[in-house]
Amino acid sequence: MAGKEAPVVTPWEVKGKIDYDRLMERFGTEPITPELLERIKRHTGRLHHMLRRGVFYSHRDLDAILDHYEGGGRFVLYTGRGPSGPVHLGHLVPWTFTRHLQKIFGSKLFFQFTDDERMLIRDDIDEEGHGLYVDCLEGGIDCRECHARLAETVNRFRGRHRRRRLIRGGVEKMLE
Amino acid sequence: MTDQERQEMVVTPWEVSGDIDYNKLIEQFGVQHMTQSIADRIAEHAGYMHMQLRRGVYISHRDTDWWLDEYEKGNKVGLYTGRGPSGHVHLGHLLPWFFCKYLQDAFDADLYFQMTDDEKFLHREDLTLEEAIRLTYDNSLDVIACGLDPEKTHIISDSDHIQHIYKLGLKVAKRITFSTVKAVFGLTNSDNIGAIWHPALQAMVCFLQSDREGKNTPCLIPAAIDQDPYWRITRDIAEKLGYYKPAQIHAKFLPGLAEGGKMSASQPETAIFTTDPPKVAAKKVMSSFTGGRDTVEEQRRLGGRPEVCNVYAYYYFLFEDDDEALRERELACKSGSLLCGECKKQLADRVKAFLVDFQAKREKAKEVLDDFLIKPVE
Repeated sequence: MAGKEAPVVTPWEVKGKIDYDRLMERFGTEPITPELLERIKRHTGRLHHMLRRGVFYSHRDLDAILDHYEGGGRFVLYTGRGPSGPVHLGHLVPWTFTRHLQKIFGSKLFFQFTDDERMLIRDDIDEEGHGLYVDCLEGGIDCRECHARLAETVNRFRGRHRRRRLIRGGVEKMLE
Repeated sequence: MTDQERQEMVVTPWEVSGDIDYNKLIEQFGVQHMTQSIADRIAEHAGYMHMQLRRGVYISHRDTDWWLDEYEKGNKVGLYTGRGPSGHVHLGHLLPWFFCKYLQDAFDADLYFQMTDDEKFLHREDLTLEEAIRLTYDNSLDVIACGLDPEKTHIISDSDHIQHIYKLGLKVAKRITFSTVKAVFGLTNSDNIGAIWHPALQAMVCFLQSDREGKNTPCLIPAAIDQDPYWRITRDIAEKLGYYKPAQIHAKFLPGLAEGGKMSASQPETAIFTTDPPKVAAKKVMSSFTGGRDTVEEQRRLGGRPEVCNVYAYYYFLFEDDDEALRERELACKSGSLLCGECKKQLADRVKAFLVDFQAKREKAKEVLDDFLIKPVE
């Protein structure tokens, strides 16, 4: 392996050797403790493997969300993607987990495609850009086209066995 | 009355105050003086010279001659103006809108009319977004009452019609840096980020017709000169995006009823609103600032001073189309035979008659409002 690079973690760039404990400290977030995992388990039955294997490891106010839910309240899910090219397996990690949460907690999901952000930040994506970004624009702000593409991508991996295998591969890579 | 100290002139998109020196503005903003040839060419296409052209309401311009050239070559041309909906519409606002109606008819031009409810909401502490949007539709009635063509007029609420303007707005925004916006509009680091973004939306309308129709269309903006900073940044980026630079024709500010400054919605006693009950408007006229003398005796002897008189300005800009009648009024004033009370009474009657008619048109506009709102490209 090459010499140690200083890790960079911003909304636009992630590189270098990531020290997750340091990130938690720097961003001021909390670790997902065994106690919190136990609490989640009460709702999910068996813990999702991404929780068991520590793929999701840190949080803010997840306990407050559980308090709210256990008090009879509802909560919504929000995640998203900056569409600047094809979706890779790494992107599917949070989406798969989001689907899991959606199923367990019956939550609505708001999924934002930040096609504007991609276009504003990146010099190589412009009016004549290619790929998902243009598809998104053509689909209008609601990104219908983009959703369709996403659904297709997910469908391709839908076979249970195949999906498990692929995600396991991805997780292993992340844990390396 | 003694000569008062001149008040410092302030002309920005958010504030116009003090004694306006148009020559200084023309120099400061780097625009061209209006010419007789431009007025003549417009009149030739319209079939008549609009009162506002005869009376020098339009004092300066940028590339209006080029816009006319393009039209004369047989090319389609477009118009763009707008309003920041923060209250009722007053007579000063109507000046360029009436002129847009005249130009729309003369040049068979589409008019894109932007309601910057987003900007008003972002800049004003006392205005909720819901109220700004409500005012967009309320003020649209005034726009429609000016007689514009529903087939060729596209009113845009920045907030409600964002789906029609966001994409082009992004392309514009990507070309404008924070430091440019800061410098041009005098923003500071404590201003909200919406205020930084808004200029992109105001700029993009210059290219909207070209974008929607897939053909570069010269755009002329009739508006008061205080909006000029927006067009300066738009002109800087136009060619990079493959569009023509927008042309401008700048209107003077209609003076308020009080001494100095323009008619201002933030000082209701100085402005005649289109929604004022005609009697209330008449009262405002009766108590307005004039160029009269302290006593009747003095005025009979010395005559009035139409050159500083707001009542005369109203005849001049809006309520006396007949040049001969205007000259007679001026002479009668200067000779001392026409006193301010009588002159104000005559103006009050005209203002009342105007409002009765305009308010009826405004009421009718409610039925056709939707026809004027921007629609998706077919």
